Amino acid sequence: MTLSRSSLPIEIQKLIIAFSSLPGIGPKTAQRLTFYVLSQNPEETMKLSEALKDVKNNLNYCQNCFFITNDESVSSCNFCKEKDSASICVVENIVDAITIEMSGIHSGTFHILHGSISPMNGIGPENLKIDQLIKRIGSKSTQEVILATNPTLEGEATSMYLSNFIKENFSGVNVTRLAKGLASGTDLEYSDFNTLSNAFENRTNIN
Amino acid sequence: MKKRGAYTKGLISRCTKYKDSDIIFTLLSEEGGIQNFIARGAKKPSSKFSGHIEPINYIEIYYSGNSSLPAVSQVQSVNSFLNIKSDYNLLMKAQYLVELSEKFFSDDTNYESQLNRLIDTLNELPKTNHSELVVLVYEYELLKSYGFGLRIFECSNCSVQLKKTSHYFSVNNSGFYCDNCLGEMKTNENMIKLSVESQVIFRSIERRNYKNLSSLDLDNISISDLSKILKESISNVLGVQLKSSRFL
Repeated sequence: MTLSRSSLPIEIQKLIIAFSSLPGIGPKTAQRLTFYVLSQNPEETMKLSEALKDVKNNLNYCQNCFFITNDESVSSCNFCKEKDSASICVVENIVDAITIEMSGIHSGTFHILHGSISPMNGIGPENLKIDQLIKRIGSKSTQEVILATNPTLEGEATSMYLSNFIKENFSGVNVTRLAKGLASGTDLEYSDFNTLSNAFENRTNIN
Repeated sequence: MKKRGAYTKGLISRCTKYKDSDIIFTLLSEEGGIQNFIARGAKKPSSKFSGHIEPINYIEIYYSGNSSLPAVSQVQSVNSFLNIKSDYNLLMKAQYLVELSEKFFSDDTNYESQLNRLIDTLNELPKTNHSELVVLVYEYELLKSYGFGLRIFECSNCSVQLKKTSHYFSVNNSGFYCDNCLGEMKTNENMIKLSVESQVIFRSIERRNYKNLSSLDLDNISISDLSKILKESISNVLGVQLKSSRFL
């Protein structure tokens, strides 16, 4: 008799399916992880289970910057409190905000859109935290909005949409976009036309 | 470009990030139709692929492997359509055209002519003040090339030549009704009334009289009804609504 996955106990099958739903995890890896969990002592497994529960139960999105927070009051979080509110850096996702924050180059606040405009996937401005950004710009003394969306087609579309909207509705607000061009360590000969043209457009004086 | 492995040319329709730095992309290629490829390490800033692998980029590639997901070994951009990508409205239209082509590409075998038509349309898009007309021409020609052309010169019911007056267009029947047949039709049928001026646009596209199109005073002719007819006809043919159509 050959052993198939369906002949495994239902609990095992459920866990394999649950692991398979994670990004980058295929059925083989999911199976390996499941049997690893099974071989662990109960305390270790409970720790993992509790951590997963806590992530969903105890965390919220801050209603100001849309970063994750475990603060009960979600109107502002530790990530956006006591920061220079005159400058808002707009990013696509939380990881981008963390990367910029860890570099220490931006002293202002962030606004996380939780995605980017992607017509072919049916994602429009109404599916992102754009209304909340507009309200934020309108209600506070915002002087600059830094558009730090990814230099991809979707990121550029989001950035163009936002810059058009902000320029039309908030004339006093300065809208800037992160510079684009050659990345450190690249070879000029492999650069595409788009990157080269951006690099030439944004070239700087050497004093 | 140094020849290595198999070669193809095409337009990237979609990109998906895979693992840490790989990109899986869909190419509307001139040889194999819709094909998926993997560009390993393309997300790394120092990758020789970075910048080339992006939707609405017309590229030529060399790839290796006969698997369902061949790996790209060399890539060169032919046209990045920068004029389109720097304008939000044009970008939305281009995304719609690419999604539309993707749907029709799967049913075709003459990929090269299909791809050339798309590339020509994308090249035309930033050159005119009436980009919506470029989209209209593409939709019309696409439907026609797949055998779903509209009947615009005669009544779709009795085949009598239509007079130079306003007529009702039936989306279900893919054509106009003459005044005699109109009364016999079901009242709940999806019909759109088109003015003589709007019909001229359809007739000019059908006759490929693009000079006539450019001489029309398009600011005073509503082409939204024409666009609605074509979008609904496409939706009837495909059986699905295109996701990007609501962004036009």
